[in-house]
Amino acid sequence: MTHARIVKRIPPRFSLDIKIPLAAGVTALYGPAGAGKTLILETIAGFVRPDSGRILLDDVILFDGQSRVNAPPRRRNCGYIAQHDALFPHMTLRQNLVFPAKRFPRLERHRRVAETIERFHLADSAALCPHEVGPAERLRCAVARALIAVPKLLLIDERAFDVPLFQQVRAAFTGPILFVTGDLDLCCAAADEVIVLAAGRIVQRGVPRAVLDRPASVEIARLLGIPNLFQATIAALDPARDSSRLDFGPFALAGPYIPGHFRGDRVWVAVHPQDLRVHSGDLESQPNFVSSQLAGVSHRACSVRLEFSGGISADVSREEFARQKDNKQWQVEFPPAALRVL
Amino acid sequence: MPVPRYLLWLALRVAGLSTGISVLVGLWLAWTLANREFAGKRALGALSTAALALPSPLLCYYLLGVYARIWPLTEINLVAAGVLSAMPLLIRAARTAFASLDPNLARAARSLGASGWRVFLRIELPLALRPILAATALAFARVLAEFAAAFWIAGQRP
Repeated sequence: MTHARIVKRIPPRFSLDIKIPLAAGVTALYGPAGAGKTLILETIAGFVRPDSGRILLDDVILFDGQSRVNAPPRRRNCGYIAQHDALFPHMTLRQNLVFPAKRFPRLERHRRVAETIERFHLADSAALCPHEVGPAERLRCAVARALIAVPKLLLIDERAFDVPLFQQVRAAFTGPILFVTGDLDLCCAAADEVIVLAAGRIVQRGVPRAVLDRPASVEIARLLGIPNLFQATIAALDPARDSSRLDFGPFALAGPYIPGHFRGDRVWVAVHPQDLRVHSGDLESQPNFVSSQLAGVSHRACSVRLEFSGGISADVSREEFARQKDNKQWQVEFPPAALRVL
Repeated sequence: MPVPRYLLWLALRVAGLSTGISVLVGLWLAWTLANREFAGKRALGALSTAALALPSPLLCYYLLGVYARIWPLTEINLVAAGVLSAMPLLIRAARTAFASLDPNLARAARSLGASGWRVFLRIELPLALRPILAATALAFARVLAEFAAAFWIAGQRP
């Protein structure tokens, strides 16, 4: 059994109070700066002593506030990858890998180091110092160094991780991984579970796709970066047809049935910008089409974000934008399935 | 005027011993000041800095005065005076060097199973070595220079 129950107060205002059962697999800690993500990793690794709580790793007590057990970091068996890799700058990459392998007998140590160098494609740079190699190799070496110590839990506080590196890590390590990120795409691609943190508390947790699709509150939707958040009044509910009608003031939309609510209730509705579709204003208006003025355009890595009057944002592909950029009038289509009542 | 050889040898011996003791004790104090939180930390830091500003003839005068009352002037007393003169320099330089290290390096080393001593000897000391060596050379020179003052104030052969 592996879990962490941590209470830590940092004067004057911040307090961390969380409970995380760590299953095998990858868990992402997502939240704004100052939410306590790094502090969680530091307390589990043993660098910061919690005020109270209990940290168990494979049924071994690492920390227990009541019985005053506090294992030192070197006895915790937690691999810790710090921000900016923390490779020892006065050692070569090979020496960095030999450092944690010292506890193995000589032949075993050499075998492990050689295997790790091979697995993480570090053969060409093994004799170089960290400042002589690129950031990708440094990161690979930091991961390899953490894994060569055979940890039971891997804590990653490095934001430069990408999906291929995660796949490499998961191929080499089957234990639980806890990582800090501000990248929702990485959460969806690499994590089995995401924990959303705000001000030292867990506000939502679950499978990344489910958390993104169903944020538990408007605050969490804001944390997840959903720009389309509107207040609406439920104008009609029809459970037989699995439909509802939502009145947003300037416009009304048809949506799916909303269980647990009554007609006249005020609710928050979130819509992901990539779920919206845009059309020319010359097209005949359809249900759930909203006429709007284009207020701004911002180019993203793989899409274009269109910002309309009324606080509506829609993401379209570059090709779609190229086709429609000369529109004088715009209509935004809200597919009923895209409306998520919080 | 040629310097008597025994005097030169004594000065080198006193400076070497004082610097050696200062390095051992000073490094421990500097590391503690840079890495640990304890009551009186600020006072100890201020004291070590203030000792730098103390005029050395004055320091020697008081020290030799105190020693002379307790037991006769010996080489040990000169070494003790040298340590008090050299240590602030070493503490100051080493503390700054240890405090400027990235704390993630020691953390990473500890999470990789290294003991406190191993972290100190393999990571922290090598990375802070240059300023510590410079301060050691400076401390040695300072003790050597102040040997004359101590000897003059004592007014006798040790």
